[in-house]
This record gives sequence, C-alpha cells and structure tokens, in this order.
Amino acid sequence: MEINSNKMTEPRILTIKKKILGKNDQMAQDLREEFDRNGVFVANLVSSPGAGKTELLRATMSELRKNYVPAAVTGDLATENDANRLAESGALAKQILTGTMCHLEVDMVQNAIKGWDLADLDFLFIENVGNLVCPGDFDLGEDTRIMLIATTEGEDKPLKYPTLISTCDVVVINKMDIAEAVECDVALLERNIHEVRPGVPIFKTSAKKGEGMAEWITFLIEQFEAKKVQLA
Amino acid sequence: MHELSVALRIVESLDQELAGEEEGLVVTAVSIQVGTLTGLVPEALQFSWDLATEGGLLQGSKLDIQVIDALGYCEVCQTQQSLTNLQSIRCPVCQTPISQITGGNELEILTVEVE
Repeated sequence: MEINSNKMTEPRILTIKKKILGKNDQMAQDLREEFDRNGVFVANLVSSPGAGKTELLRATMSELRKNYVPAAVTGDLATENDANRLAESGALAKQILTGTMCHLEVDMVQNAIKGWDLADLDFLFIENVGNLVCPGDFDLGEDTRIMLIATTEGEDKPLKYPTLISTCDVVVINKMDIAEAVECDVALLERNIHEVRPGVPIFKTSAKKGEGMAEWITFLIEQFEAKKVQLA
Repeated sequence: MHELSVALRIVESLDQELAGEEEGLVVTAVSIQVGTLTGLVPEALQFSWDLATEGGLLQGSKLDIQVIDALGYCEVCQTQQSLTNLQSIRCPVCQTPISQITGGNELEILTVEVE
C-alpha cells in the first residue's frame, strides 16, 4: 500500500450546482405528468393546524361527488381520524402518517395512491400536514396550491408567515360563520393576504354552514374543466 | 422546522456526488444558496449541520449559507426588483404590489472545498 502522508494536498473547489430538493422536484414532475395523462386535477391544501382543512375537504367532496369523482389523501403526524372524516363524504380517502415529519413529500403521496386507478378520478386533494412553514419547499405534483386561513387565526397571520403563502395560487378564508363572534376584521385579513401575496384570488367560506361553498366549488370545477381542455 | 431534513439531503447528495473522488479526500467547506422564500432559517440549518454530517465524509466541514433575496417583476417599472420586506410585497421604487415572484425559492448546493 502506498503511503501518501508526505503528499501535499492542495485545496480545490468543486462546482456542484445541484438542487438540494432535486430528487423530490423530479419525482413530483413525473407524478404531475402521470396526473395529466389521467386527467386528474390535483390540489395541495396547506394551513396551520385547526384551520378546517378536513371539514372544507369533506364538504367539498360531498358536493363534487354529485357529478365528479374526487379522492383525498391526508397527512398527519398520527391517527386515522382525518381519513375517516373525509371518507364520510363517500369519496376515496387515505391517511398518510408522517410520524414526526412536519410536511408531506412527494414519495409519501405516491405511496398513498398506490393501487388507485387514477383514470377513474377527476379530483385529487392532498391535505398537507398542518404547518405554515415547511410544506412550502416540497412540490407534490399538484396543479394548484391552496392556503386555508380561518377567521379565528387573527388578521395578521399572513404577515407572520409570509413565505408559504407566496407559493400559493389561491387562498380560502374559512369559518366565516363565526367571524363576527371572534371579532375578525375580514377586510383587514384580506388586505394582509394581498400585502404578502398580491393578486391572489380569495374565497370566503364556512365549510360547516355552507356559506360561500357554491362559489368555491364552481371555481374548482372551472379549474378542472380548464385542465381537461388544455390537455385535450 | 425541516432544516435537519434539508441538511441530510445535502449530505446524501454530496455523498453521491463525491463517490468517484479519490480516497482520503477531506471536505473542508460546503457552500449553498438559500432563498428567503424557502422559509428555512439559516441558524437552524447551521445547527443541524454538525448532526447531519457526523461520522461521514462531510464531518468537520464548514457550511457557508448564501441568503438570496426574493425577487419580483414590477409591471410598472418593467424591471426585476429585490423584495427585502416579505410583509409587503411591493416594488421598492414605485410601491406597486408585485404578483409575479421571480426568485427567492432557491435551495441549491453551489460548491464544495476539498483537500
């Protein structure tokens, strides 16, 4: 064996130029193409814990099921509760348990939908882990990223967490039915959303009482139909 | 709070990248670029680095983090502008709200320094 101890080691710089989440990005792109081939419209739903993602999805899927085939996967650290609640809508729903992970990554989604025939689906909703920071960096192959903010969260929530919202295509303000009771200034909340994400479309709903749900559902259907036309 | 998983990705990626290099290679520094819209906290990433690199090829290396400002395109000024205040995404020159974000999501390994 050659002894190299006397050899001078010159420091040198190697150029790497590689995306840190490149593997996730590539897998997400592949999955997106698979969704496209099967004509599925995919939405990634993000919010803080307790904003009402599951209730909004349950109500949304109940309504969509009248004319379309929706399905959902839902991420949580523990329990199957959300998948059970989503299944109440009659739609296909699968729980993803993340353990201690604070966000979903694309391979988790891929594993969750294994065995589903995507050609049978019209909508796939991905309910992310309740977290307003971490899901932002992870592409899940979605067509649209939706942020949900509840009126109970305080009008300045968007200002406190400006990064994830900057990657969102749509914002839904939920729990409109109790806005007054919790003294939420909805107009101010909307201004703050637009201050950190100018021009983003905002919907106002009460998933529980039905307020604003018709506009919301119409929007989703329009997005789905537009995708179909685009793919045709 | 996913800085540790990001640190682990860097390690995984560089282990692969440097697999073909000669034996006895010592990595002294790793330089990365992080956009302000990623939500990553440089201090937390720095803190995760020692943990993530322990026992591997990158153990003892320094992590250099270049923080990159978010960028947006101002339709009024028709130029790209740095967005330093994330609480108010407006053109720093004319104050018009900016809806077209053009940078700030970078998360990239740039170089490694080896001996």
